[in-house]
Amino acid sequence: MKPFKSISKSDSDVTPNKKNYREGKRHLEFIPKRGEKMDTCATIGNEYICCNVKVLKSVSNCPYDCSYCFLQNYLNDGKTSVVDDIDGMMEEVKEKLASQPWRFFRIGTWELGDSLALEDESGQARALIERFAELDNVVLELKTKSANVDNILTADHQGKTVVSWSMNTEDMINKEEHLTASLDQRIKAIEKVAEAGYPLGFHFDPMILHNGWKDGYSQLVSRIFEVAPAQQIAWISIGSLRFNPEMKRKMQMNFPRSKLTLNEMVLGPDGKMRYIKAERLKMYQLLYDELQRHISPFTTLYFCMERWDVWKSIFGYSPDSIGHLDYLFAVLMKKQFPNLKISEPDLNLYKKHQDS
Amino acid sequence: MQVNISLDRLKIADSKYYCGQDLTWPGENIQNKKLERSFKTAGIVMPLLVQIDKNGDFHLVDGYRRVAFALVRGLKSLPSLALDSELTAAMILRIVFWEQKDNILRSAIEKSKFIHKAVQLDIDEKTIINELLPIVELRDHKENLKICKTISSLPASIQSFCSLKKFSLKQCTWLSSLSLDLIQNLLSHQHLLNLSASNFMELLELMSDELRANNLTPVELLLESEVSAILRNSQSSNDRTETLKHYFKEKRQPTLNRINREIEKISEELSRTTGMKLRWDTSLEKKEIEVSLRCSSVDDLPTLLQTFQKNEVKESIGSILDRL
Repeated sequence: MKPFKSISKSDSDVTPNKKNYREGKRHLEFIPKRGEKMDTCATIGNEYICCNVKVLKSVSNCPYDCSYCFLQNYLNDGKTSVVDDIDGMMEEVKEKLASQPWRFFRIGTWELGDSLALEDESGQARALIERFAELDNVVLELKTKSANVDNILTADHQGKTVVSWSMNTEDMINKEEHLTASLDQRIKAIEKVAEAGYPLGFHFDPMILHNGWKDGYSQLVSRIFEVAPAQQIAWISIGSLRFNPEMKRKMQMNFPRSKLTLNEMVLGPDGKMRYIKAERLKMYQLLYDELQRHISPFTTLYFCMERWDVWKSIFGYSPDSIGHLDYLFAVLMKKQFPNLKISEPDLNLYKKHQDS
Repeated sequence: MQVNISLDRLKIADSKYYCGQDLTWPGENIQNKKLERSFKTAGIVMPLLVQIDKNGDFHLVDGYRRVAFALVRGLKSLPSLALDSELTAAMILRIVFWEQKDNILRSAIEKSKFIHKAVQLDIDEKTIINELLPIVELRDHKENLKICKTISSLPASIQSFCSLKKFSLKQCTWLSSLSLDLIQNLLSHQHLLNLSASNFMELLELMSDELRANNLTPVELLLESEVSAILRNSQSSNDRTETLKHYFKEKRQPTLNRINREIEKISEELSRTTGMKLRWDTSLEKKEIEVSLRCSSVDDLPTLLQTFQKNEVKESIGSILDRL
């Protein structure tokens, strides 16, 4: 699908506010790098445990139209943009790596968009893969809901890129993740990427309560592990639907047929609506039990934006801080993927610098 | 050029520049009482502003209150000033704005009607975005044109309510996405409820969720026996509104309320037997309880410490933590 009304190149990264976020999905612009593009994932907060992943804001907006997407309440700049200055972004990445040589960096390009949705038009992912292949102590994460993997299959990745998928039940993909690849298409893409030797990642986030969710998530796990070798899976995250109260109204306006906002929810201390904990625990337990039948002991299994007691209730343990979880990633990834040349993890340093 | 124009030749509510001004006299504007005294003593001195179109029709630009008064008093004509025929619609609309500024800026509804009028007059989009949106204190964003159009198409009764309650543009936008039937049904009960803007929005949100979750119509929802009973009860309108909100919230959060009730029961029993007060996060997100005991002398401390050792206390607190 080529959804764009226009594709252009701009000397500026600023466009006057003329169009809305949805209209912006249909205008692709290649823009220069202005200011810093690397940051910490914006969901970080003290009330819930975060994984402290770093993000490279190389794309903004997304051609897909998921009913729960936070971008509908966040972006209004009337375009989809791709930073076309790979050299500039890599220079910044290298500077950040050099400033904390003790840290194992996970850097994703998905914070404000999909890492592979625009690959046919931009080729950005392949370019980044080949540049990250030259670096140590870091891994690039390309997270997607697409099946656009053909352009990266022959890239020289050196195992330094994790290609990950945001996964949901077939029913939720069809009803709520509009314009994204179907479950079948994603499974085929996973198979291709696994054969190309990339480390893999899976994000069961947002888990959504819906009719048939138990069978849906059980079947989803089975289908993934039919094509994804367990030893190739770097990490798996789990999280549930969450949004701020203002976004609830946006979702209802943009997707009047969606019933996502109708479940029993509470406002958490981080200002986001979530399913009540008792319901979240039921979903997580089911998924965890299914995953336990397949996963390698070296795969990092973690919650995104959950409380300590949820970790303990499902996994039987909890990291004691954000720095601790960051450290655990380094330890497990070092064991599973020695080619990443990860510095010997030092828990004290990870804790001391957890806010940086 | 000042002329006397016969009111029956004047386009008033059908003027190209009519932005929804109140045409009743004295209407809702308390300033009109003062004006009435002035009109009665000095007559209508200030000429109306009109624009003559290609067909020779007179479109009222400014002077709606004077016209409303004149019609009630049975006056046949009023002094009028015809605007230069070279003036563009955008220029005339700016005149309307400066003459009606207080009225237009008083609510998001009036601002929307003004901007939508500019769209209807075929004023070019760039001028509206760059020049008219800023003067009505809205962002120079194309999306706002659509929003103003949507808000302007709300039924007059809803517009009037929103204007009176000073709804924000965001609130009006959200309101426009809801079932008009629901809004009008709720408005038809406004004499029973305290419908401030925030109460109105909250109730609409709760009721809208209820309709969507159970495939009900607004009438069916309001006729439910529990809802009817609340609407008929003897509480003040304020308390009745709170009761109604509480009722819908309870329906939307059955598990949360059930667990909180269980905890409350344990907590009350513990308070009765030991004097211990418990506080917990009623969203049930935090797995922790604040425990307090009243102490008026250091001599009380040993007894208080013993309280924590009691089996019934440990069991009760454990039981609550299991629920959190």
